[in-house]
Amino acid sequence: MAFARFFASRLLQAVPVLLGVTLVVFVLIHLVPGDPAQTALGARATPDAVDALHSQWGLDQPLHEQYLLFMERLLGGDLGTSLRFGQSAGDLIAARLPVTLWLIAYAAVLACLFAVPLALWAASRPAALRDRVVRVISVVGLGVPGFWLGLVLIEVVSVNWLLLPAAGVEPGLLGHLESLFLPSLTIAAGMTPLIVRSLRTEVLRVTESDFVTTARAKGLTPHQIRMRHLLRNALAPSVTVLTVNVSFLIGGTLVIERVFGLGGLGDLMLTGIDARDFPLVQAVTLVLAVLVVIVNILGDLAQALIDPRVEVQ
Amino acid sequence: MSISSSLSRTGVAAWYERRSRRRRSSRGADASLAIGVAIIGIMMLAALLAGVLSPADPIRQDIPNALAPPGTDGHPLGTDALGRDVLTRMLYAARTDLFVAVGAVLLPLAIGVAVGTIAGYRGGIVDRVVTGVVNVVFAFPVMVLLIALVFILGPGIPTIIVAVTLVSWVSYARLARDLVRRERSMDYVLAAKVSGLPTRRILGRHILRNIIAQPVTFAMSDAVAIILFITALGFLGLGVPPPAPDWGTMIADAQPYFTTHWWLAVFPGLAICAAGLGLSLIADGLSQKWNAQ
Amino acid sequence: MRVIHVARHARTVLAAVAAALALASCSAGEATEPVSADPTATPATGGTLHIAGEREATALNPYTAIDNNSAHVFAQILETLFRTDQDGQVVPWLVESSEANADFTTWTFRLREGVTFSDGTPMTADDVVYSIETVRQSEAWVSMFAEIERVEAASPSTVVVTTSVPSPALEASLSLPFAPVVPADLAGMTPEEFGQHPIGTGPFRLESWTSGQRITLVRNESYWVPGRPYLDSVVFEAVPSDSNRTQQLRGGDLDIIATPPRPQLEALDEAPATVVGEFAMAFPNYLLLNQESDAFGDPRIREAVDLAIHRTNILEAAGGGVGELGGSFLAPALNFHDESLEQVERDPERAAELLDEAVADGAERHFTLSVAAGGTYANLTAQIIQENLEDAGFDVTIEQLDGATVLAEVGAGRYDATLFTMTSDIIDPLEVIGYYVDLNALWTGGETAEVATLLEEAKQAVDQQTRGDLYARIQQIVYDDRSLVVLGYQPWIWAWRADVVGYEVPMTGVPWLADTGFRE
Repeated sequence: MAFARFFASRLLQAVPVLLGVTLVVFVLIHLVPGDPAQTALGARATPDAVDALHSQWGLDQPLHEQYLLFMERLLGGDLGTSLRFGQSAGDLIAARLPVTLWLIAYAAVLACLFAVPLALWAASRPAALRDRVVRVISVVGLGVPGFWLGLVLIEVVSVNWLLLPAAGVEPGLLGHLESLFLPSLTIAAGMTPLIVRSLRTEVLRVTESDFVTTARAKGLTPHQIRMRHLLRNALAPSVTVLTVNVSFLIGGTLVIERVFGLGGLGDLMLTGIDARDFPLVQAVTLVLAVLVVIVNILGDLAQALIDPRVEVQ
Repeated sequence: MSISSSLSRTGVAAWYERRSRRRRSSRGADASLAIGVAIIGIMMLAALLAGVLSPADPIRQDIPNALAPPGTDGHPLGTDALGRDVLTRMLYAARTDLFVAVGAVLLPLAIGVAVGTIAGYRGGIVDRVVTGVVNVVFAFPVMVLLIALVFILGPGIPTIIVAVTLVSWVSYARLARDLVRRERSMDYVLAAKVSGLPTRRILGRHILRNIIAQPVTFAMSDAVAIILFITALGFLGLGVPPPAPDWGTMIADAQPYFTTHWWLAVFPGLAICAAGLGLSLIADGLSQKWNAQ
Repeated sequence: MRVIHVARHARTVLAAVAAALALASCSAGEATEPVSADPTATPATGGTLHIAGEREATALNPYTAIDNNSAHVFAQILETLFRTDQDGQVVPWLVESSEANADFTTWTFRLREGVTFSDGTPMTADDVVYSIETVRQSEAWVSMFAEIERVEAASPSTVVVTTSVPSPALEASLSLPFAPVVPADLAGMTPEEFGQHPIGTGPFRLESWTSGQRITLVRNESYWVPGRPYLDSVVFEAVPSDSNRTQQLRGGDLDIIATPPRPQLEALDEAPATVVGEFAMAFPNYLLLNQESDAFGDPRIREAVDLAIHRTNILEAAGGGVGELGGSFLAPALNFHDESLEQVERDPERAAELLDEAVADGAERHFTLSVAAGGTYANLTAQIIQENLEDAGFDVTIEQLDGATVLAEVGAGRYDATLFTMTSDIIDPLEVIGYYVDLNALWTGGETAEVATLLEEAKQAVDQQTRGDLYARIQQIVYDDRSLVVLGYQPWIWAWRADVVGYEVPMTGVPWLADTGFRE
């Protein structure tokens, strides 16, 4: 009951954000210096072709009318038509979405596998040697560009050691797990330092609150308290930190898809850019932003399920 | 979004708990700062002195001497597919990338802090509008919005700085707003208000001075992310237009040569790592210092 | 650069123009002996071969798909009446024999016995009549087969083709991979359905096509050549980045790849696990200068470009040293390529003078060079051209766009200059010259009227000497017009795993996988 109310209120909160997102995506095309239709069709396009595109995109109408039209199409499930592919942008996105979602999920899991133990290990003895070691790892890791790391990994792991596929997606569950391992690892490597730092801080914050006092009262040593309660209490902060970083995760995916030749949304967006395909770029941008909003809602819900105190906030 | 106000979007800024012993923490902070400043200082100096350090031309092709390995006479880091000196190109690229990064950090810092401070101090409708806009921008993955903006605005250095500014001012705005709201109810602000000081002075003289450390610290860690974004744009072919060198573009061009001419991709990559490490150390040192106070 | 020369019979085979998509694609050369340590090795039966090009096939209907990537796939399923062998001779394939009357206006084809389609029905004269009728009416090939007047089935195994004018090169034209034998009326399917479920007489049949991922072919158990194919199945993949393709070949995920990046050739060839094969010199590289744009209307500007470009540097740096230079727009692998037409002698001073003169008369120094993003060759070539021309006083902007977008822009005449290549599907240059004429001098607005007249004469010339002279005149006209600035020629280059034997890439530029297999 309380949870349902929380869910409803969270959804409601997302509405203005989503409206804002559509507005930004809508405005994008109007930021094009000069005439977007002309730019899309190239400098030597015939005036007729430009006019036709104007009316197809509704550019010949007043701005607010255009936005209403844009929203009307959007709510009807029409994300626009790609110039490059001559197909509905929605269909193109639907076909490419699975690879991107796979990458995001896979990278998130890998990042947690690295980051959670590291963060807990560091937090179990604040300011001790282990804490400093973890800090140094994360400081160094932060500055490594993912696209470069990906190239190095391909060269070393796939080309030299002949271990994992160098590029592309293999069919089937195992094929996916195997062929998407390196790209996911690359993204996860970029995320791990971020997660370790935030998670360590969050965990310390939690462990120092109320229940620690209780535990102390039971006569446990500080170290025992941490080890015993940390794991149980690491879950909620992990969800928080992951949720906060999902936008970074998606951004990373975009670049890494190119490195590993994966045909996901990032690749689609970049193809759209090379083709000056405004509707396609707009559609992908919109979908990715909506994805972030959805993940944030899910993160909050998960949080609420794990830790009932969240609701009170 | 409800959960994230205390955490930066990129999560780069770290908060070190006050419990750590002050002396040790401050010694660690000094070391981090010193090393970080040294790395960035040397890189900036090398970038500025590129013309002096290397007599070679970063753009002029010399095809008969293409793909020379590192250590070749006159080419300590070798030459690329068009015979251009890799070291020289890296130095000039440092100029481009570091310069763009400075612009892309300072501009959003200034704009974000100004907007956030006003929103936090004024409250009410201004605050609600600013918070709304901030939340909307936060909904976009940084890299996605950045790529879309660079595409829309067309390639070039000004475009990159504008795009990064449009995307990243919100982090500062949110941070400054939260800090100012906390500060607003403090005694000294109330006292200043009562004594009839104009708002501009209260904000500028008192509040801003008290809160600025944290956005600046955040800016240093944000700079790490910015360097990675700028070079990623170059890698994707959306960066500084050729033939001007940029680390990301150099790596993209080197991709087909990796197996046979590893240095073409490895050295610019290491340069990015070094810049990232330097900035990251500075941020780390600053945040420790700030927490220790 | 040491690269194994698999088959370099000069002007043997030829390969393909798929006009519209030639820019993007790359294909094969001539298939011959395997390049392995033991060239006589017979492949073992069985196995699945993974082969990757740059792009996915668009459709497997030979009459609607005009890109090389589609031909790579459907050529394993659908066969032609004639093929061009490794010596550049057109030989009968699905026909037993062919005969022409004295003036080459009536051709009689006797069909091979015992050939069946993969659905079990025997191939008959009706199928062949239907196939020729269809290809000669399809938009892409209508001018190539314009001289055909009638196609008739004289008996269930005899087809007679009558042409309005002498057609000495009809056999060569019918070796076109886009003119294969299909079941009459497409076995009752619509063209779209046939594009998804093609039926042919070839060594393989389509098993599945997962759009955007892979096309899987399996052995045609009823193939008419005994003992072929060796492979159980073939998987076609599209890997746009040449770096990724090469990495996947090295890592063993792919067995054969098209067009590895030039800088990698030597390393690939020296590695024990991989082999590089360099085939017929069938791939000309052009810089197209659009006379209908503001930039290149003045012939002095085009001459200045032509004189300023450093072709040897392009061949070395972008082509990895593999290729040849020359002046003709016809590739060396084609019959009647004019070797005496040499590459333009570089003269930057003269180029600067010409440019200054033209600019004084109102011409522009600036133009945009549009190239497809992502290709190593195009990227390096564009940068070298930019520097050469800027040295001569030009102002060049390089614009990188998606490959399909460049084609669309160029095809619509909306460009100043671009890098382009056009390969041939048959050994006779009539196909590529036909394209040149039909496509407004490859969208440059260059000279076509005279070329068209000469082409008609050449096509009908029964005497080889006369034919050669006419083709030489055409090459000279295009050379003087300087709208197709010839940068050089490249061979078809493929790379494969060392355990692959018998990899045959016929001259059509389309691989032939019936004789391919894995080492015992």
